[in-house]
Amino acid sequence: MSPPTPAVGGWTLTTRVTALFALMTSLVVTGLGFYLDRSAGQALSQRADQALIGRVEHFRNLMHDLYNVEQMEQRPALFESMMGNEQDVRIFRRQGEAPFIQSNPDHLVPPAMTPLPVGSPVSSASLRTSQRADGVRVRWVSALADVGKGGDTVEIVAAYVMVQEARMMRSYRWRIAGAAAAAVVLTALLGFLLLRRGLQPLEAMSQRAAQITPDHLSARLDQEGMPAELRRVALSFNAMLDRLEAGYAHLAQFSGDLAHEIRTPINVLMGQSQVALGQRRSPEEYEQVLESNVEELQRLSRIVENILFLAQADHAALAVERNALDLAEELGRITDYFEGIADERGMRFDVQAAGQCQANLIMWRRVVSNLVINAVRYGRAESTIRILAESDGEGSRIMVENRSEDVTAQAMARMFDRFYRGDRSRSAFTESNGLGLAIVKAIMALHGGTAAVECPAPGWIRFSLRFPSAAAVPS
Amino acid sequence: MAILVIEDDPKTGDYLRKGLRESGYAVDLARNGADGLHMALEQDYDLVVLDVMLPGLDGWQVALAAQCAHDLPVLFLTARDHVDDRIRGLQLGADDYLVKPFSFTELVLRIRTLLRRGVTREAEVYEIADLQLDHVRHKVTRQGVNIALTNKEFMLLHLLIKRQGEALSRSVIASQIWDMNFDSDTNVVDVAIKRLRAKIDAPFDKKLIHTVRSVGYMFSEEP
Repeated sequence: MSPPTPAVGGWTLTTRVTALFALMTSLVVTGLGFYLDRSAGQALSQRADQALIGRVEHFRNLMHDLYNVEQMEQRPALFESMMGNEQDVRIFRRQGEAPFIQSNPDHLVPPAMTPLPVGSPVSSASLRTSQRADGVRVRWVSALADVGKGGDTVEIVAAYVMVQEARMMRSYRWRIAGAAAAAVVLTALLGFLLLRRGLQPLEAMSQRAAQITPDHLSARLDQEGMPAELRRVALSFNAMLDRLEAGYAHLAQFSGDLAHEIRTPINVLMGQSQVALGQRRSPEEYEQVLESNVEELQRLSRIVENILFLAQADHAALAVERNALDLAEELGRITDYFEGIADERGMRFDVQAAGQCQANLIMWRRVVSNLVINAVRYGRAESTIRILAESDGEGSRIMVENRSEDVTAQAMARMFDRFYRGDRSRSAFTESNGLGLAIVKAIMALHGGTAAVECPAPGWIRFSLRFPSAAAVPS
Repeated sequence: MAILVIEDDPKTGDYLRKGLRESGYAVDLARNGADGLHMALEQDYDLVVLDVMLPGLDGWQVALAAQCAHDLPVLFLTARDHVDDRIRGLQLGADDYLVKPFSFTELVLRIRTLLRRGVTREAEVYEIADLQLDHVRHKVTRQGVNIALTNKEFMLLHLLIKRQGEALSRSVIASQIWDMNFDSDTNVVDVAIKRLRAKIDAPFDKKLIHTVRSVGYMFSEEP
């Protein structure tokens, strides 16, 4: 069962991007709306100007065809009705006199204007603007016109009240605002849907990741059908899981082995002591039990010591003090030490060594001894163990080779693992606790070197150690 | 020879006192640092066995205070085996250092060495029962018969004889003869002793090299 996905506080990526999307669209659409509003207003204004100009020119022509002003004064209604709109203004007057025709339903006050002289055509530039009390724009023009041939001049003051335009603009503005709002909502909604769909793989990924628990470490994220960016994430995540799974398996194996190695002697100690205490026994029997207990305790103590050493080495808490040691001399000492037990198995050493090695003496001896002990223990009886050592500018190399049964590559890969034993039945062998090669690896790591095992020829096995030179050792 | 043991763990303290008394020493036991320091200053001891991790006044402080007053050999016992601790102990004038868990036999051997320091002089010729070892001429005879030994065998026999009557642990032997100062989990010493016995003891009725169970080996006239 997978644990529920934990509730995530804060904004989700989807809402965040949707909000940004909405903000961006509203900015763009508002800008566009303002532009449209302005240009429509300008177009309407131009049209209104044209209408006003057309009418005033029309008046001028009409008056030119009349005989005198009196004819106009007699028929004011005719002139009053000659503008298109009831709100529009028409004022005819002789210059400096009261108007003889006046149509000004809203009683608008004309702005100060110099009348255009006779003969000069009316243009947009000669128009003036004022505002009605309700904010509607009013365009004004004042022009002089000849009446008939008598030389009479009349001033025409006309105004165009942009009532219709204002109304049009008002409804147009509402439509723009509505369209803009709709566009914002629509883009936000579409953005949200698209994002949710686009981020579906991420959601799937998170659900999948939620299923990964210590008991279920083998689950992996799907890489198929993922967008490239997410595939990279999935790839690295899966690689991390691989490493974790391997580490976890390693740890589980280690703790299992550790439990076995430690519980067995404790069990023996407890059991045989309790049996011994069960009834009175002879001093010899007690001695035997105590002796066996000491043996078990020694075994336990060795395991604990080795594990502590490995734990310390893992944390690199050990300061390694290095000295130059003579390879031939030191190898001689070690083969000397093991000569007796090698001889018991009819084995002999063949040492070829030269040069020096930069290492901690005690640790070096421990490492090499572990390899030599292994060779003596597991090598074929009546054979020769070859030990080669050489050094060059990069460091030194020590190889221990012996004849052995064929070892599988899989077994070789695991040899340096803690508690690994090639043959499980060897757990009865109290001399070995399966930590020897793990310690070899740890000591080599402390020295910045490496340990390796290989099969140089059928029936041979070779362990090699590589120590870096003094120059390569970080201080 | 009087030894002061300062150890807070009750069981460890009790068995150390018992074991050391049985090994022939007069032993006083202090169960904390303050008592221990008081006793070390008041009475005349030949050696102090001191636990480092004591409640209150710790081992380092006790050692420092005690050594200011007397020139007293100190053997530290500790569960900590960091290099720094070791250096600190030795700087403070610890004469020796044992990491827990230690073997009791090892402890007795170390104590004996510390107490004997500077006293013994190397003999040139040893004679034990019918065996004669000439250190200078590198020669061993038994009942007048010359016994040919390898170099290591001679060193091993020499060590056993030099410290006859003492049970020597395998790690002490490995360290003295082969300079191997770590526990190598092998029966190297047993094999070497077996070979030595084959030459020294096997042809003769009286056995001189004895196995001390769960400890090691001892050279002695008495069986």
